[in-house]
Amino acid sequence: MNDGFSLALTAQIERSEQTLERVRRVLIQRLKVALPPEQIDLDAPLFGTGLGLDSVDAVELVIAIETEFGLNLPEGTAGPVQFRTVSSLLELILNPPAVALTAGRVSAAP
Amino acid sequence: MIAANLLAEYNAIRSSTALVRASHTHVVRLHGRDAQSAAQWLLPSRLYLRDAQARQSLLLDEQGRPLADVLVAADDADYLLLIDGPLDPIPHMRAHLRGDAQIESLSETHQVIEVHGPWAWELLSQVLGEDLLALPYLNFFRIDEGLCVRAGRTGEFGYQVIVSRADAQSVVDRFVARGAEFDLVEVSPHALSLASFENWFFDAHHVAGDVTAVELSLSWRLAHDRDFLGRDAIVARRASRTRAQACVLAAGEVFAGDRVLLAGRDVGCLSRSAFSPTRQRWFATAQLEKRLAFAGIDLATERGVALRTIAPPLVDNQSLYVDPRRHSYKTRHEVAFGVAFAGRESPR
Repeated sequence: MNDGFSLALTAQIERSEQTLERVRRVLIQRLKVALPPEQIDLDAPLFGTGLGLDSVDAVELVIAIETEFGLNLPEGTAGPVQFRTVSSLLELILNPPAVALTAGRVSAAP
Repeated sequence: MIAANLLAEYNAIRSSTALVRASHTHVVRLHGRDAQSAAQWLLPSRLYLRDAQARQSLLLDEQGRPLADVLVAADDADYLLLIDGPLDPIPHMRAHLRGDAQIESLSETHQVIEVHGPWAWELLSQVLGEDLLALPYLNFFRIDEGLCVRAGRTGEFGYQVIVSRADAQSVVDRFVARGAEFDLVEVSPHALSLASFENWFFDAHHVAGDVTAVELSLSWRLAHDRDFLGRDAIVARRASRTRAQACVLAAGEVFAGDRVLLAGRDVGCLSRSAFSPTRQRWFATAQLEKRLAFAGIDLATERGVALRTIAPPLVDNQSLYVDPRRHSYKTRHEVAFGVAFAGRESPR
């Protein structure tokens, strides 16, 4: 889609959009979030009253994200703040701590 | 950047305990034979609640614009609503009430006392009883003095204690007396609002212009499988929307109303701004072309102040690291709190 953005910005946005779609799919299919994808906003809190995840889901979420995006998130590499909202989770996936990269396989490709 | 008294109040919210003597929150009881269907029409969120459980919701107008932030709790067959917004919610609710249901305002007879901060739970348990240590987030307990609702809005532990006006002063006095051990500070709505803004909580006092719950990234609060007041407008807006809300960090002072530019092109505007004591930077809510709402995009205001979109919240709250089973305010220095945010979020 041409919005008049630079090529670099367009690529950055497309990578974010594709990653968001994959995160939404993980939340719906793996975590059983009962919302249509378009209602899972960037600002939606993952836990509590937001998307309704609980402490048991937290473990499943980490595993699902590691599997989907080829990340390795040992304890201590990501704090609670990275798991606050869909947007902060997206940030973690797109810009993971160096230790979290396994085989350099963090891509937007499904 | 920020007045000393406001900073002291803010610091109490973020690191010790803070008291709001008389909250502006409206308390409303919705009851009657058709209370459930009335609640489902007036409140757009999913309402599968067991007794004493609460959920965040909204009051919308017919155009899907949020009028107020609502915490709705099931109280036996009734609904208890804690409503925050710039308008008296009662006329709006009565105008749209359906079926055999009644709206009772408790604000004339009751007072809402709020306690916030990473150590609010400990102060609360010492004043109102140790049972409150077991109170889950978004639930309430019935206490001798009334009700205690756990529903923070600053990212820290937060409680709203609803008591009769006759009992309110004595409860406040007990908090103040015991609060000395917790460095309790009485805080203003301004300090509470700033802490709430940093944590990216919705605040109905700062809804600017013709925006619906969709542009405000509040779709997750809306039921998708039933009708509610404003739903038709929400569905239409979702199909046609061009804007989305984003959080931006600024390299200098910014103001609500500032236009936002990308390579010289107007792509939106700022709708609220503040100086973040935690980040030591100005930050703002921006309504942007929706593809620009992702974190990590460099923009500028029309006056040349550099902006960068970020993923909120702006605070790694101390409450995330405090465990009521192991910690105490007296030994707070033993708690390992989170680290500062990475520099890549700073605008150029």
